[in-house]
Amino acid sequence: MTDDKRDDQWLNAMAGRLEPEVDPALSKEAELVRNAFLRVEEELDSQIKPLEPDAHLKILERVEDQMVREKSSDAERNKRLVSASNPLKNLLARFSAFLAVCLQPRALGGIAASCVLVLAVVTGKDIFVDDGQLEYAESMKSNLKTRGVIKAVGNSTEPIEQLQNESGSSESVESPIRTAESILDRLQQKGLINDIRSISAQNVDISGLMSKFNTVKSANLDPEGSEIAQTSSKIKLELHNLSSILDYLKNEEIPFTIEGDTITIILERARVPSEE
Amino acid sequence: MMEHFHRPFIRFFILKGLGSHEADDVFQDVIIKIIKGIDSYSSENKGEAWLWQIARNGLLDYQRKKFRESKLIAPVETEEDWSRLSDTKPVENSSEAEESVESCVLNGIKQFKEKEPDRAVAILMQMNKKSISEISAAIGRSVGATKEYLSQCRKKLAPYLVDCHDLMRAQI
Repeated sequence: MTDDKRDDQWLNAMAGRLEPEVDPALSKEAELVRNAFLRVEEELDSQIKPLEPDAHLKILERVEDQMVREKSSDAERNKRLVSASNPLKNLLARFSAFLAVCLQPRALGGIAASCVLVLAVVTGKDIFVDDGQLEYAESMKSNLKTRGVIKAVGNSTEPIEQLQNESGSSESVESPIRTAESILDRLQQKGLINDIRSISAQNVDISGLMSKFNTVKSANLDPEGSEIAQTSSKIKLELHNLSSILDYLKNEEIPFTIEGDTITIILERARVPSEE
Repeated sequence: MMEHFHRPFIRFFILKGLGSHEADDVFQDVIIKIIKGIDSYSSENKGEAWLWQIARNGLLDYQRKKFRESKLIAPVETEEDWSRLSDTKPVENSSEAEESVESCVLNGIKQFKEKEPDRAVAILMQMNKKSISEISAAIGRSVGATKEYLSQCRKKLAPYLVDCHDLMRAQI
């Protein structure tokens, strides 16, 4: 028998495929080597820590962080937005500026929590979109980053407890109220608060905000929301003027989705530091 | 996908000389590369072979980075150079007189995997019934070269089992 043939038989035996006519010595050798390799594999496996339950979320966060970094710099985008006259552009610019602050390295000071910031524009009626806008919105749904953000935020009817179960505790934020106040402070400073017709927030106690911003007409509070102010980062702002919004978002490549009467604009994912 | 590839990839990284923590880090990087590169995936990429290729590239990236950080200035030209640079563990003494054939072979295999990690990877993948294209992607060779490489494994392994031959014969 040629060496090549014996090598092939040995390899087959290693893979657990023992040929009937194999030389017993070769068969024994393969068995011993195979068992030894199985022991080596066991030893390797003993060094492997099991995958953490929220490992996929951590990966997703890293992917999103990298994608955000890879995009054009926030500063450059802010410049473009601020220079524009559209009130929504200004609004988004303020959000971006706020987020730039959120994304500063101070998040490293404590255990950074994740905060997903979205702006949901509630139209109160069916939204008519042209093919281009629809295609763009649909593409956003299939976009990994957007999908991840939507999953993390959930939708307005999804119980927050369910969100927590799905994502472990990593999506809880320490200070959504502070975040919301910062956002609304900025809007007020920039004279944009009048563009807001109503505010609603899911599972967030925004009574403090409501007294602070008496120009806001209504608030939609979850009855159980007052004690779990740390669980939501979703704020809905209802705007007066929706003209050109969709075209603007599409042209600026700002991700948005349309669900029923709500356009959800995904601004950025931010890291909010915990206070220690 | 993460769960499916977690163990095989980490095993691969450890076999190639990484510590378990390093292997975890490289695994995360590799998954990110897979996610970000998913648009470039096509059926021509041959399924899991594509993923193994990314795992291998991720490992090489890490080893290059580690090399730069180690301040070594010797040029690294070949795959074998990289292998030499990876951490090696002390080889267990296989000359103890009263050992069984199993422990003798195990010692030989442990030495073999330290010296020939790619061959150990190839054999383990063969044992786990991975396809030739997956094995070739993991060890960075063409399919044809991988077949040849695998068929040589027995010969390459033989010197590590010389001390065990008498014990083996006694068992037959």
